[in-house]
Amino acid sequence: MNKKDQDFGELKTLLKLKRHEVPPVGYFSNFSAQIIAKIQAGEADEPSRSPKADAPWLVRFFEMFTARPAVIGGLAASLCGLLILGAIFAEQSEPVANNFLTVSVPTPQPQTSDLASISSPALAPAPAGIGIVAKPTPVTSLQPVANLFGQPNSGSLFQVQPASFAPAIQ
Amino acid sequence: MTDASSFAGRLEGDLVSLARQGDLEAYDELVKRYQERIYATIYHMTANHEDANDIAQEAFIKAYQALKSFKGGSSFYTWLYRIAVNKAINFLKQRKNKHHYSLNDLDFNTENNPDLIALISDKTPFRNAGLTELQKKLNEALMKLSEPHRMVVILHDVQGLSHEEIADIMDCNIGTVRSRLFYARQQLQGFLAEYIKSS
Repeated sequence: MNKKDQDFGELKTLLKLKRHEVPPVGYFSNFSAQIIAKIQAGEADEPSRSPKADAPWLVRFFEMFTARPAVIGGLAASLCGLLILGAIFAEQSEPVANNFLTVSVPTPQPQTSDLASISSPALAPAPAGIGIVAKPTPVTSLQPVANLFGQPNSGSLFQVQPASFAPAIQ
Repeated sequence: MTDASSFAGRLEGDLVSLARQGDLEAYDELVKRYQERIYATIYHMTANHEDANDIAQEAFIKAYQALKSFKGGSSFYTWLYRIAVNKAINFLKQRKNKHHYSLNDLDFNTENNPDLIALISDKTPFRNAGLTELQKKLNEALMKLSEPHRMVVILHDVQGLSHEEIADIMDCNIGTVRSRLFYARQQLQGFLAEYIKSS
């Protein structure tokens, strides 16, 4: 049997049965009103959505996280990665920095005889052999010192040492 | 304020123009004109009254929201049908062939239809089946078809649309419509062999 021979007459009649399937009586009397009400409700919602768009960026930022948990996961992972990279980079660059910073530059000692060159009364020369002379040694030192855990603190660049007020030995 | 009854006799093009400008009364009239056909198409696709109600409403709301994009290349009726058909097909794809039947009752005219009465009369071989049983079997057979095949049969054999209109609605050529229709009928004939005399 080819295409043209098949007229599907009874099938077409049977399919007409579908035309007699109807929704409950009165169903369409309120149908369009429901649609119009939903459209109006949707339009009424739109202005209430606009303040959300004007919300502070931080609020919208957090809302984005709520909506997309994967984003916050990715962001947290990349922050952790950045921190680890920063720590590794700092470890590698410290020896160079220490070498550079520990170079001591000799500071010329002020001549006690040259009074005119001393302007501060605190640095006034004491009588020979007695008195306190402020050493012009810098208060800060770049030498490693023991930290709280008893190991040399190679991490910090600057440690504070007490100023020396030892009697000057002429 | 325009009187709603004044829209009743208006041309479809006028109503569409007004609705595009936000006139909801004009759109209400458009909904009233097409609600039964749109609902019926979706109902026949889903075999479920509640689903058809939801999808038909969504289709009309979507059409209103998209009215600005309606260029007028085809008639509003065809454009609206296209939205409804796409909504129904997407819904059925999401549901993944899990059918929940909620069939509407047959109207009182059914028993007065001589063709249908002939189908269930004792003179024909199949058939001690009542109309309700036949309705159930027919819906089950239709749900076995793929969505595009079912859609073509419903639009042509149930809704009475032409091949050209179906091609426009389903965005395919007429040849595709004809071949889908033939294949779908052949399939249905097989599924309903028990109830149909071989041609």
